[in-house]
Amino acid sequence: MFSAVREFIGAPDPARFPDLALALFRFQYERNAPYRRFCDRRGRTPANVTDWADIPAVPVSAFKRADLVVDGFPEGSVFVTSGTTEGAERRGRHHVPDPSIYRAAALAHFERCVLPDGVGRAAGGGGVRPRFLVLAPPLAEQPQSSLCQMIEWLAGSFAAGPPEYFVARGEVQAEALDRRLRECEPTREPVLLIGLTYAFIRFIERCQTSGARFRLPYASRIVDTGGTKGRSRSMSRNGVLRAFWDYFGVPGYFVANEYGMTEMCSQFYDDSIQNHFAGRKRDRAKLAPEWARTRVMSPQTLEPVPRGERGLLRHFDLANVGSVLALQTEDVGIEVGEGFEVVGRASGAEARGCALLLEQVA
Amino acid sequence: MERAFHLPALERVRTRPAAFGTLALAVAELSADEMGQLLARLRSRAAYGGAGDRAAAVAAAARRFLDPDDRLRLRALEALPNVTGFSRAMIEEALPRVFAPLADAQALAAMARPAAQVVGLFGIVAAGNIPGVALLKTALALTAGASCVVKTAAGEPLLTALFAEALGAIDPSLASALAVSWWEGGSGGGEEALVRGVDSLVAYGSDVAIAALAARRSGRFVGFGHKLSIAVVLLDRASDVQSLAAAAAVDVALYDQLGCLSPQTLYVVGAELSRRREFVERLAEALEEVECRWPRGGLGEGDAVAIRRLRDEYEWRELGGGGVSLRAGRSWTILEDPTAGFRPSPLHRTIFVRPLETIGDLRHAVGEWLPRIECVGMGPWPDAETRVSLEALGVPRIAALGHMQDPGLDWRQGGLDPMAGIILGKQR
Repeated sequence: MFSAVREFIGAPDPARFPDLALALFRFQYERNAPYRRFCDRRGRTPANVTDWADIPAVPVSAFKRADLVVDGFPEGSVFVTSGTTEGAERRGRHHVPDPSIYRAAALAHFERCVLPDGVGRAAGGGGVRPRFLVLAPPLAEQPQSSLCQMIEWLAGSFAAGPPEYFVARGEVQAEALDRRLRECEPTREPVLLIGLTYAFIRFIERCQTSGARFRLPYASRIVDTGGTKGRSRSMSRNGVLRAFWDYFGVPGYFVANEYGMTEMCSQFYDDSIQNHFAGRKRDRAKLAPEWARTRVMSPQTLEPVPRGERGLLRHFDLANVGSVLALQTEDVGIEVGEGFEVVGRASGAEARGCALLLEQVA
Repeated sequence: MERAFHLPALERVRTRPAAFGTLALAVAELSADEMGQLLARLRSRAAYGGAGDRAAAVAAAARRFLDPDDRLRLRALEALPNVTGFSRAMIEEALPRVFAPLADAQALAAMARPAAQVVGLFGIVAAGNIPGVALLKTALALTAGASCVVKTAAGEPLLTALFAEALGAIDPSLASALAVSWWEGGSGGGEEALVRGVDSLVAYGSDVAIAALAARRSGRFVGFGHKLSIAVVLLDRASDVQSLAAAAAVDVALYDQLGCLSPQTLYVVGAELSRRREFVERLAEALEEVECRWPRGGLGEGDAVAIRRLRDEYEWRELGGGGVSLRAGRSWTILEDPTAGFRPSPLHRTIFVRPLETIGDLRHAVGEWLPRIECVGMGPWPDAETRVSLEALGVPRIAALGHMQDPGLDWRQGGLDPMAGIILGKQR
């Protein structure tokens, strides 16, 4: 099954998604005991589930209470959620027996969504590699953070040189970032600023006070993630985009918000950069990789809502081969274009996620 | 369009439509000057007749909402489901529970004929969406001879205005002692004039809202903040299991568990595991049956997610062998927990069932929540000794299971005299 998923990620074929999803469901049902009990309780098993959209979805909170991992494989990596309002003792743990699949999924979709113009491609691909300036902790500081791992992989594949980190021990290293951005301004080499939305906001607040503004080289881009999730200082998405232009000189069409979670090996990115290079004018939406699909479900019934109505996002991610492919989130979204937009978290839901990477130590 | 106000003391009232739930109602726009004028006229109005006459008029107005064919009752039935979010069947069930106690003129007069002096101008600030929250105090105040101003709640701004209309048709003079209006809480000079201008103010709402009002008020003030309820079930006799489960389901389902008299935890005392399990089975059946009679009302996104999170938590704890269990239907949730603690419910028919060794363990089980408890439902009705031990907890109301939400005129809400705020002197 691991090989089949790895092959699919390497050469996606949407027509094969349903069969592979059902086969993966059978695999996980047979080898993941807590998930099997969950499915049995609902009377939904490989014997009677014939549509991938009917595969039982576990709530992401279940990762706090059970080891949702297929048995019989090496332990691989374990990623831990960055904390919740329930406290550190209730962190979710995502077991990834084969991190190479996670890596392959992360690289492929990032390249498609963030670097569709060839920037970052290896020598011979015609691209110029960007510097990676990271507004998140280094992997050495947060070794169980899926986001930190992902950034390390992305930088290793697409960056000019090693990633440079500007968050340490929960604090944005503002002066160092300030200096580095000034050094980058006169060059013609694009910069890729990547990190936590909340860290960007903290840095921007400092710039607002100091009056500092930067004009980064053409084709520089920003990838931010985590939102502002219930933090005391929040900013609308339009406000964030405007601030990226005002303080970094990076236009909105070179900004992609990433949506992902520790419990899922695939990520979603805004289609804004792709749209820019394809000459498309349309509202930005989160784009899924070919190996993941998303449905919007009613919070009351957990049945799909009509297109355009808000509901809870449910993801089906083949890259989650070693745990559970169907995940029910508490993130509220709306189907938009060929993807979806994240509206926020349901008000009954606790604040969680990457934004807390900063908050928990700051 | 229904009018969500009753202001006979003012000649002209500016109105505007405002949306409540899925219905637009006409609301009055009162300036600070107009509110001052209103209060002055109500204050100058001398009470007439005796408490018996006033009680008779109030009771006659209340009876209109008990008459299945009365047009006022039918208007309430038409509008309130859209305004409050409760199902029509729930509103049908609620109306007699609200108005039957008020329709008893003798009891009303007896309760409202206090030895102490009655305030001249009495104000009420209502909250929530439970129908007629302010009506009990309104009826007592009018019967006692006070003039009364009611600021209704956004969750249910209509029923007191309809009651005032009924009273106006029966006794216009008494109805002219009553003013009812809605405005957005905390806004405008009209509210400030009310808060400062009445002789006594009774307010319902969140602790924050009560504290804010108390801070703005210099005179007599009674606040009813956030309260909740629990129930205790003794399963000594196997033959009681079915009837107690049915009674508990009524208390859980009424007002979709949103009232302060709605139980959030059922403590099952002393029974062996198999009987407790049977009780939970019967409770599940009863909640399903109640759903057919009184369908649950609408559920917002946040409430739905809060319930789902709790269900998810208990399901995964159960799958992990944690000793808890989850039972759930489309509109109800039972969370069986082997620990004897307390945890607030996300409501909307979400009930915890927990064991207790003895009733004496109740104080420890509810812990820091004890001051928040307004009512303990008991099934079966306890013997005198048990009642004494429950009363020793200091909970304002002990009620028979299945009747937790029928408090009647003598309800000592918050532990206070039913006439608290209406009469001068000590309130306990």
